[in-house]
Amino acid sequence: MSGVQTVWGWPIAIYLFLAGVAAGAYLSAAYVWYKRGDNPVSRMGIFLAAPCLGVSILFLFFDLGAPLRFMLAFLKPFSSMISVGTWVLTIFFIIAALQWLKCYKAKEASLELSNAAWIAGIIFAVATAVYTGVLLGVVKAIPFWNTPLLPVLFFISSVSTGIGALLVGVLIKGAKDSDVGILHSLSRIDLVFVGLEVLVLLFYLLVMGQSRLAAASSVKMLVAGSCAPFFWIFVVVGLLVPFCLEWGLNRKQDNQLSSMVVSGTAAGICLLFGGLALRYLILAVGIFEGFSPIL
Amino acid sequence: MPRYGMAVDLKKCVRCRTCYITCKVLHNIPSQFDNGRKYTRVKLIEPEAGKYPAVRRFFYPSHCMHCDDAPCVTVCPTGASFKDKDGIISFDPKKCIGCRYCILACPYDARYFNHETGIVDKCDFCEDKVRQGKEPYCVEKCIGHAITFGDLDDPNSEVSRMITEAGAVALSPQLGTKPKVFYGNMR
Ligand code: SF4
Ligand code: SF4
Repeated sequence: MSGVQTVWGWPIAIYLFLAGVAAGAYLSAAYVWYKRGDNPVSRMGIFLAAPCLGVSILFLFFDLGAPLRFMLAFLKPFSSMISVGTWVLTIFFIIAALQWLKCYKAKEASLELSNAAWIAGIIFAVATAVYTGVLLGVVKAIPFWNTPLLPVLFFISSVSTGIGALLVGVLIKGAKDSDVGILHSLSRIDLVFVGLEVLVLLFYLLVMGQSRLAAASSVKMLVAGSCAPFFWIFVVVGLLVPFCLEWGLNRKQDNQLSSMVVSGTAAGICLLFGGLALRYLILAVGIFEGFSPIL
Repeated sequence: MPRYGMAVDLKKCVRCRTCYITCKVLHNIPSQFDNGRKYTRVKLIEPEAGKYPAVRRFFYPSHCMHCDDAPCVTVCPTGASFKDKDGIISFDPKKCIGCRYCILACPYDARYFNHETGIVDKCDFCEDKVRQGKEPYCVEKCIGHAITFGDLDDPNSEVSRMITEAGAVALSPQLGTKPKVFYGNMR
């Protein structure tokens, strides 16, 4: 009885995606803070992280069949990946929300954020991003998910979507000439991450395609089956287009704000689309290994 | 403490579907469909094998295998799915938050999500009856006496005897969950 799972769909994809964006935006904010101290780009990361995470948690909450009992998921912190995640996300949310509040109150004044808070935040941001992959990675019944490559892939994608969110946020809010330098280095970092994402995805699909288990059918469904049109749109729009745009930005070496606004925003939107599409697709092609009397 | 398990002798099974109906009626399971999958604790699986003209159709009732290493228990965040002392993989509806992680973790497709209640449901070997010393409904009502239930650790129990006589084996043991439901005379 093998079959495609229909247990988790869009709401969970959005949940995993937004948790990843929150983690990625936070990590990028921390990086910018480390490089430049208090500045608008870093503040944008802080500003995005907590709300994204909050919305992500809401998606999880409303996807539960009995949401009003969700407190029960806190009772056994290490019993299940969902409980681990509940704790990790909650702690990360508290840290990010506290920094968000400070940032909000500071307005024009200079912002003081303690190193201890940053370090704790970084640890839980990484944990959150990795967790979104581990959640699926531990499911043995679905071999396509059951690999440590998935947390790696989701972590890389989280950083990339976080940078994407930051680019979009800063550029839409209105960037100043002084921000262009740091936006450039973020897009350069993202170039590396998108490159890594392509490599890891390729490796992942190759490994799974060789599998004798149901994972091979998942790969088929993804690259040549019913999910193929969406998958190739994702590859082009979510990976290749932002890669080329960021490549262009870095090759020209022009620190013009105008070209950053156009290419940066476009790349950021594509990255966000790609992050959501990736999570949805991986959920959608989860095929059960299945059992049979004819063996 | 017994270690409960079940055996099905497919040679005695007359394919009457009583186990499926009786379970559904007596456990008050609603009649809706979930993405084409019936709301049910017992599934009737009918795969075909071979090539024309040598084709065979199999038929076997399947429900929770009450795995000794049950992945559904490992993934449950609240303890709603748990293993009882007598080996029954039990379920506490009051603790279930409806996350459906257990449905993904179960390789035997034994659980379904009930949209009416917002929680999952599965076969519990009719544990309330079993603890009163009775048999599960499907065992009791099977017209071919094809299903037995009892203590796997007792070599003289009915279930142990059927396992030996019918050469019963677990389905797809390579999945590694150590099921406690066995099928005999499979071919
Ligand atoms: S068959 Fe599925 S639901 Fe039953 S114990 Fe095994 S894993 Fe759990
Ligand atoms: S759906 Fe209920 S029984 Fe299943 S894992 Fe979630 S809380 Fe546990």
